[in-house]
Amino acid sequence: MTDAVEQIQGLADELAGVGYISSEDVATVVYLGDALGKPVLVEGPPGVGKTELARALADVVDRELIRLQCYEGLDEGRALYEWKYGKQLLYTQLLRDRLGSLLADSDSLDDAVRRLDTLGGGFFSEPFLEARPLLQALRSERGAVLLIDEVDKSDPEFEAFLLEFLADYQVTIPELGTIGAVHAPMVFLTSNGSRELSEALKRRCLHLHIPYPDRALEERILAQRVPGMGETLRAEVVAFVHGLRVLDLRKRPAISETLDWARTLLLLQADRLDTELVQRTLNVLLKFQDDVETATPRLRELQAGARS
Amino acid sequence: MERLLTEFVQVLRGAHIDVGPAQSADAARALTLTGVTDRDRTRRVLAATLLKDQDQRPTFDACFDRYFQTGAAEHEQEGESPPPPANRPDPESADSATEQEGGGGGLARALETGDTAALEARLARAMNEARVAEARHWTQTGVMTQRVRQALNLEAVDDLLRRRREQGQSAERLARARAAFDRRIRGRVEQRVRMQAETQAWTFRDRILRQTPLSALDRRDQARMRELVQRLARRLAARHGRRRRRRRRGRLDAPRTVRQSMRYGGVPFRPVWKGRRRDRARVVVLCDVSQSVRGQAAVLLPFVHALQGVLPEVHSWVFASEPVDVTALFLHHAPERAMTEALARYGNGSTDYGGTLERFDAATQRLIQRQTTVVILGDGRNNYGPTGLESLERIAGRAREVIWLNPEPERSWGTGDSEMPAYARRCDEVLRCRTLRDLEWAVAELLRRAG
Repeated sequence: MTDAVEQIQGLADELAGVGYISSEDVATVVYLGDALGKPVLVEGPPGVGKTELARALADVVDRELIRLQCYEGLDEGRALYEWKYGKQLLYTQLLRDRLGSLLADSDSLDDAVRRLDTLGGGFFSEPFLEARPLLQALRSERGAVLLIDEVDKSDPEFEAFLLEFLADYQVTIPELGTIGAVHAPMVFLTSNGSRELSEALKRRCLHLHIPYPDRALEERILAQRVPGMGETLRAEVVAFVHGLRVLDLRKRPAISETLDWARTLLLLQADRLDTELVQRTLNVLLKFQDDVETATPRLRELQAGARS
Repeated sequence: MERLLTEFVQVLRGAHIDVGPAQSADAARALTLTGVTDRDRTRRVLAATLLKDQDQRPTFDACFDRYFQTGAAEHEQEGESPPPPANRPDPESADSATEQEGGGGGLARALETGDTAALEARLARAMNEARVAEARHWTQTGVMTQRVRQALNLEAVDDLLRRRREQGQSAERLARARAAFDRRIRGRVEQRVRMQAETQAWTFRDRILRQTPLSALDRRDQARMRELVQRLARRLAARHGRRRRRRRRGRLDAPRTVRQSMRYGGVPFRPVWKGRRRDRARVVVLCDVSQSVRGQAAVLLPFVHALQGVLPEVHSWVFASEPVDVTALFLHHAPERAMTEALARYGNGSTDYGGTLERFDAATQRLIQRQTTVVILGDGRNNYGPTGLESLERIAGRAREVIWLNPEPERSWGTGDSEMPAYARRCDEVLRCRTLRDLEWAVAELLRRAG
């Protein structure tokens, strides 16, 4: 029991070591995912480090990160495997003469077909197989960290196909048979909630929700990622961003925006926030003109709040 | 621990969080790994394995707090007054041992020796037997308590007490223990029933909200309503998005296959299938925002816009005395804000259906065409002014169909200044739209036609 607790703590430390400051929630679920061999479904607003988590974990466990970016219309051909049509075609052309001589003495078409059949898998065999992310993850020698990014963007059909894959980490290719995982991959799925995922998929995954971080956590992240920043400015930046998140905005600034802003401020060699500076750099934090307009009248107040 | 987990899962299910057997098995495995010593960690582990959605988290937390507070509270009590050592030589328990077989089973003994663990186990078993978990309302507390008492066979203990008193033996300790235990039973049952009833109440509230007239929502409910609307929209979008994208596989597109095969030297390596291309449907919403229908409008417009992912093209117009195109407003602002602004800017003035329909007709010559579905939300009350029936007819002629949503109940259509029956004859469909449930239904209908 205590063993597990130590491992969770150790995992959190190691993640921090490669630049990912995690909350206890995150470390616990990641540990469980590994221990139970289950995929982890990571949800949360954009920009809180969902993708980054998988990347950091791949670093920690020193495995290959294989990423599958989902989009509408993604199909098995792009996600799992594809035959190398071009190569197949080229080889048929090159081998035409050879085949001609081989089949020269067959007197009927039936006979020729039979003889071709004895030649084995031929063009539908390993050398002509183009492995896409899912198959790559299965065949990875040392096991891989598989990141299925923005799974909510894919079609429901693809989601159903994923179920099969996630259930026992194996896939069936008609021409070759069933291919199982050499080493079960650690699977992360991310979702921005643009579409409700199917119950079945959710049930198969451990659920992890990464919210906007609290102040202490965000300051730690800033300290790690933007080291050149003074402590006062850091506290002010975080307080200001937290003030912004409370407002009714279309797109609230996430950690990635905070980091961008911090870097911007560093470039401008600021050591305190002042209203003019904030106004000039606000578009780094807010991505909609609308939001900028909402925030502008409140700037002074927010910034005063950040100072205290 | 197994039992605790199963019971907790049942509580969650009671709160309408679906937990499958595979999930509870995962939770059990996870807990054996991490242990249950740390309350927060246990919460995290259970949330990760049992939940499917962040929406469920508040309910989960509430259930967790309620359910696991029992354990904590009891530990505290035990800490305050450590149970008397069980093996202390005691005249009362010495001779009671002979009476055990008579009745009360081990209960009397457990009571006398103060064996908390045994008592707790019995109480839990009895509560299971009495099916306390099935209680749905707090008024059932009394009945449930009685059932638990019966299941525990408390009467046998009473008998034992009576017999002892008759024989002139001291029964003080047993009587005290019995009374304390009875209080405990009552407390536990009460707590459990309350927990059940509350989880019921949450879903009950949602259900009620969906049936409340949209105009009668107060501020507090409105926030909840917004959430409901969002969720409904997402669900509808998911359901219909799926349908829209379905391809008809199996019909070969011969010309395109041949063209494609040029790349492979004329070998049709990659057959091309025909997909069914949908018409570019368009939905135009015309919404009455005068005082009388404002509540409904405030729900409908954001709703329709939340569906923009599924409906190919949504245009919104609002009117009180004249129609205004507010599509851009909704495109550039969050639905909440757009709505407030639309209401503030255009919501004043008295309703003029005649003028509105006429101008709407003129302004939408290009917009409303064969593939357009027109949705009008309004009560059809015209202050006895011109009705604009001809304009509506012209619009209906151009559009694929016109759907009228009326927030008034059917029986008041046509009473007073309501021109509804006349309008209804010129629309393809008239739906009542009084509650969120009506609205959900109407929008599903809309999607079925336009999607």
